[in-house]
Amino acid sequence: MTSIRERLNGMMNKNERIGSWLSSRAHLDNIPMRKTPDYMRKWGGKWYWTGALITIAFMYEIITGLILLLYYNPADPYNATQYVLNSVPYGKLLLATHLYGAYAMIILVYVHMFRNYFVGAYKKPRELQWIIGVVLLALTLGVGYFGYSLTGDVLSYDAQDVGRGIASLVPVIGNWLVSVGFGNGTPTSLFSKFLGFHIIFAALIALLFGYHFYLAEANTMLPSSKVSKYRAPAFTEETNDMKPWYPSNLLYIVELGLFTIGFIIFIPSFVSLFPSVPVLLSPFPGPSPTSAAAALIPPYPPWFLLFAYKAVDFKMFSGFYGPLEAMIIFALIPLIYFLLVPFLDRGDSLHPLDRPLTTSIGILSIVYLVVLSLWGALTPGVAISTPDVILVMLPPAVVTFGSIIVISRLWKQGKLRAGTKTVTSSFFIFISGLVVAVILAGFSFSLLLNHITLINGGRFSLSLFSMIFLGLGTARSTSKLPDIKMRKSQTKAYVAAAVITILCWVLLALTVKLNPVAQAMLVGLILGTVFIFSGITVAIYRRVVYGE
Amino acid sequence: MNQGVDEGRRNFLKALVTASVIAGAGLSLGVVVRALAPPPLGISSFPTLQIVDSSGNPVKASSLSVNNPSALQFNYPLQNTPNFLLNIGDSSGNPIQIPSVEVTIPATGQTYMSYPGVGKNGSIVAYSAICQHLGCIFPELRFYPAGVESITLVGKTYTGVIHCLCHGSTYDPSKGAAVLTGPTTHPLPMLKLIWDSTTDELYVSNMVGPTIYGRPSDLTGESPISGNTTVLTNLGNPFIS
Repeated sequence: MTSIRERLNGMMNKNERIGSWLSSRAHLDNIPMRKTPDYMRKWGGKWYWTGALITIAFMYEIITGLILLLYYNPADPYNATQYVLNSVPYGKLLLATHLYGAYAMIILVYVHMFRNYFVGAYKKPRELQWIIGVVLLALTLGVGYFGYSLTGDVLSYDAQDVGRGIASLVPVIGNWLVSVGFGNGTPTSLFSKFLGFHIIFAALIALLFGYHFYLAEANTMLPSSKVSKYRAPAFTEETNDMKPWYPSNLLYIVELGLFTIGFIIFIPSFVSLFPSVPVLLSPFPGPSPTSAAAALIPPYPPWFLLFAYKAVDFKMFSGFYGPLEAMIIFALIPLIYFLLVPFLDRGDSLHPLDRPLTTSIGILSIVYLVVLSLWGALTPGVAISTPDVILVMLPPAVVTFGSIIVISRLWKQGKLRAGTKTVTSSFFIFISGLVVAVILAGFSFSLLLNHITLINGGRFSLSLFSMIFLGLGTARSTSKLPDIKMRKSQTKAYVAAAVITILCWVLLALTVKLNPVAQAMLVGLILGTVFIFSGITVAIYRRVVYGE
Repeated sequence: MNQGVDEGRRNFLKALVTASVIAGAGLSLGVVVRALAPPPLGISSFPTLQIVDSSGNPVKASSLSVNNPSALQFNYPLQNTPNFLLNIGDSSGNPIQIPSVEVTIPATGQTYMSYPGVGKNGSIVAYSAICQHLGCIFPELRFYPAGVESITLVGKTYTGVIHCLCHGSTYDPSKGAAVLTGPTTHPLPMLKLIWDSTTDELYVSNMVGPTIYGRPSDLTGESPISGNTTVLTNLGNPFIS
């Protein structure tokens, strides 16, 4: 007979043995992932993980997409969608969050791209990584286009008509493209193609992402400016004092994942509480194309293609030059520019102000993207005369290039302090403010030209001043933003974690009585909250245990 | 690793993190598990449907010939749940009055009363046309009118029976489709027919006996029949090839 104590010890040893067996067999201690320095996992380090956020959103899309695939019927897309919405348990939640997950992915792809653009991450040795990233942007917009069109609602038919029209204009291969992409004309053929391409594009994204990620690991993360001293090539050298990838980095990824998925589920669930949401942002598909309600809906594309939609409205593209030329100028040329930027901007400086032309083009791209999208949303299908186009498009260009070049000059002459102490996040706070200010300045300038009034003059000068202020702030960004320090009283952290955990389970219990069809979005609200809450507990754990 | 955090406190936090993540993961799993299964189809009670021909005209009871070996089938109570409509006669072709009898389910020993035959002679009955053994349907599951012999596994021939060629189950349509030979252990479910003597038209309104083969219940597992009629289809005579 063995005593209880001996048995307990035996059990503990067994537990430990199982743990070490698992970690040795799963190779948890030598996972072939790069270790990362602590500063990348601290409060201001989110900018280093925009790619991880996209990956998480993409994985969410794959899971929800595969479940939705089980219910899709290309022969009757609208009714299949309605069946998911009105009959399948949690179908409403799956469809709405699949849509908003895609929105999140698209926004994050843009954030990821522009962040890496401004910090010069495309420079040596990451040129190929960047080019694949730009291809991934195009594929993401493509998969969004096909997916958005699968519902068979009025917007989906509009999107297909326009897509088919533009594809047919492509010289020589236009008709072939239409047959490949849109089928032989029957709705079943069309939706079969769209379903196929939606999945094929997603698979291509997965494949190319794999390579993109491999290159990211091989090239290492672009380090902070403190390490790189704004000089390419810059690497994050692995050092022995870095924490092992498992568990500290894994835990961080888990935290990011919980927050990302939490918001992807929470936001559409919250939006669905409002009785009438504009069709561009509604988490649910629009009315059937044959219904009376369809006539009241402007022929919108999905919002992430609004920029191209507005360009087609320009009168200059309704004569000798057609929609195809509009697409070439406003979609293809920017895409080619971004593909080629590693070879256009060949210097070794990573500082945005050392590359005034590149930085200006980046800001202007964001401005045009936002302006054209808003314009498309506000004046759907309204033709815009060429002088008006120039009036809207030219001022931001003049303002951006002018101010950035001037700021860059001043900075190079040493009149603006922008040293190696620059905190990345403060730079981005200022640069996002600058983007808004440039848009406002451009708009108010065109207003001023139309009607020279005191109010318009005041508007313009106000936006100009705020622009200058934000521009200076962008250049300065010298004073280090204080990292939020962990509070010393750890008791608070324990109490907070305990309260949040209990709340998670209370919320979980609340969902038991909810109807999976009628109250799916309410469950979504709770599920999103639980994800965000558990993300917070992981954050607390990391803060207390790892001091991050 | 923070030196100030002792093992116990760390484990406490670890447990909290695990518990909160499990809450989210469990709820997601619940959502996925529910979402993977489409909601069941069905109705809440047995409908009363009129039996009509393919052009929608009511079927007259007197138009059903006695001992017809052709499979006349209609769906009830849901779609894709076929049933035989039989006019039973003796070997000389005269209709037989079918009485209500006690039928035993061999599998459970339970009993129920079958419905009597309807029509002018009380010879018209209807049974589920899905074999209770393993779900075979026409042409494997057939009606052998009196005079047409079936060969069963036990070597004995029967006539005037419903017999399944898949595995040899035999049912007696004149006694509520009671089991004559295995391997089936359940009789065929019987349908309640209503005959309107003034118009000679037929209605179906209920079922008795075991549940239709392969369905969670008689009223779920298929789409409902729309309207208040069910179409009688002639699937042909299996004995003429």
